[in-house]
Amino acid sequence: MPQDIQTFSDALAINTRGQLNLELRIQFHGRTEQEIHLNSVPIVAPFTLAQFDLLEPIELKVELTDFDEGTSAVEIEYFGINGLEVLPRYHHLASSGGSYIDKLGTWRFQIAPRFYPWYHAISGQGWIA
Amino acid sequence: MLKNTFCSSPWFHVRVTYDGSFEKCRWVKSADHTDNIQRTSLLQYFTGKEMNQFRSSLIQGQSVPDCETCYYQDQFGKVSGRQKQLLKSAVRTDDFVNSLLSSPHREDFVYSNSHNGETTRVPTDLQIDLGNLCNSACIMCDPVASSRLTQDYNKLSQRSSLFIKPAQYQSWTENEAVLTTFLEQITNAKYIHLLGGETLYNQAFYKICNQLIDTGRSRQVIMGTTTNGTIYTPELEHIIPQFEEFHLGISIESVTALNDYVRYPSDIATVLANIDRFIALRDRYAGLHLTLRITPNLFTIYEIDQLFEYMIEQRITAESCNILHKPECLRMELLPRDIRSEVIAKLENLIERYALAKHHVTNVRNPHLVDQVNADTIIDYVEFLRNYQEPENRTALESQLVEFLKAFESLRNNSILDYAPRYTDFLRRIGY
Repeated sequence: MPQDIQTFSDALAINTRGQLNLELRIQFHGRTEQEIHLNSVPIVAPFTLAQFDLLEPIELKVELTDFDEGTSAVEIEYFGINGLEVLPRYHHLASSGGSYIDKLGTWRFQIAPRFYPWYHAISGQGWIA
Repeated sequence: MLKNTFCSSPWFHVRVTYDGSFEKCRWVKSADHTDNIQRTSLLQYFTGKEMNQFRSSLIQGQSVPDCETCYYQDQFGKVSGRQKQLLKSAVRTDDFVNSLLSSPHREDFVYSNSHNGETTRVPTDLQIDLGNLCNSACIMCDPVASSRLTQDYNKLSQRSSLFIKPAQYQSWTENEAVLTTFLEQITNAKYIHLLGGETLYNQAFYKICNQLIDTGRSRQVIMGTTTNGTIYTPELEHIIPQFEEFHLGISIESVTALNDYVRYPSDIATVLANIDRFIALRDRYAGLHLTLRITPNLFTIYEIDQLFEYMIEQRITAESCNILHKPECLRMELLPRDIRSEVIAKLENLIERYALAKHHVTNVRNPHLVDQVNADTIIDYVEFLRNYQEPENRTALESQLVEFLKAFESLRNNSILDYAPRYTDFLRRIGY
């Protein structure tokens, strides 16, 4: 994203597509079967780099379909956007209140409506006027 | 570059000054005011020509002369008013364009961009100057903000051209009808900062707070005010818990008697005892946020390490409205070089002892980041002291300094040498 724009009109002319750079690192502990999606994109590798539109909501979804109780799990080791850490720092905002998934069913982490205002709120940057 | 000049403040903020004149921003000091709360409503001013032009200039990326104070702070990496206001639009200066385009106020900027700066928004962030009734006469203050200093300036203007005889004005809040009408206009306010004079002496402070409490609005309002720390009023214990948050700034320049010279005629023991009482209140009410309001000058900067250590120990942050530039002769940039080096060394020592590191916190009122904010503040001052440029008119300003101090001391029968003995050689050299 160019930072040397001169006017607000210049900013509006920037294509927002691909301006969110996501980094996702997953650790698979033991035997697990799962489907992972970043928005609608299926994720299979333990390390993923992806780009999304700046104004798009983001959803990371893990559906754990089989695992060995007590010995296996899917762990979101790191999830960051544009260099800002989201997980594990804000793991309490996930649907099950953590980023270590060891229960059958669907685990979700949602960022809406836009990443930057969301991050502003959750990182304690104060009130919006 | 837009990144260095843009501010979102005029999309949500306006200030009402002591005589009721409107001001574009709490950090702006315009020479002329055309609109006044006694004739023009808050919304009329906010959507009127002056504010439209202001918004239009900012959105076109112009460097606005009225915003020089913030641009100056930005140069030294301090958290300027501009950065604080941008944060209220969720705009970060470290990722400016992305956060600007994602801002909850984006559509408002878009509207203004295509409508010559007009806006459909209403002001939600207000600074209201209640009047200049004040028991202090701080040497760096302006008579417009202190009734006691007004008396001093009236006398001093007959002795020295450095002191302009203050214009007579009536605080707008003394007009009951205007105040009542104004209170009806602030129903959309989310943040209200009430300033004096000494606000805790001003009845308008209690009237506004109680009106918001009685109408049930206080639960949705963050109230802020600043006191000089010389008084404590139990009524605050009723008022503070009624607001969503209450931000109380306490003005102090030093934890030693130097404070009494600068913030004349304070008594530092009383001020520190009152701060203890406010800290005890903070322990009872989670919504109470305390800050020290500091405006270091060339004398108080010498002891600022002690003040910073006090802040670290009390877990209380400090905010500067700006880097002091008026009166010019009190600017930190006039420090003699040997003392400048000494101050830097003392602060470096403090940084080392407490293992402080820079965190770049912009929301300086986040109660969970007190230690980080303090570290940033201390490091910012070291950076400023290392990097500022000495004024070109240094000799003239030093002469002014002597005249300025001597004038006040002739009324107060005191001497800076008793409060800042380290400056004796310097002051003697410049003719004190």
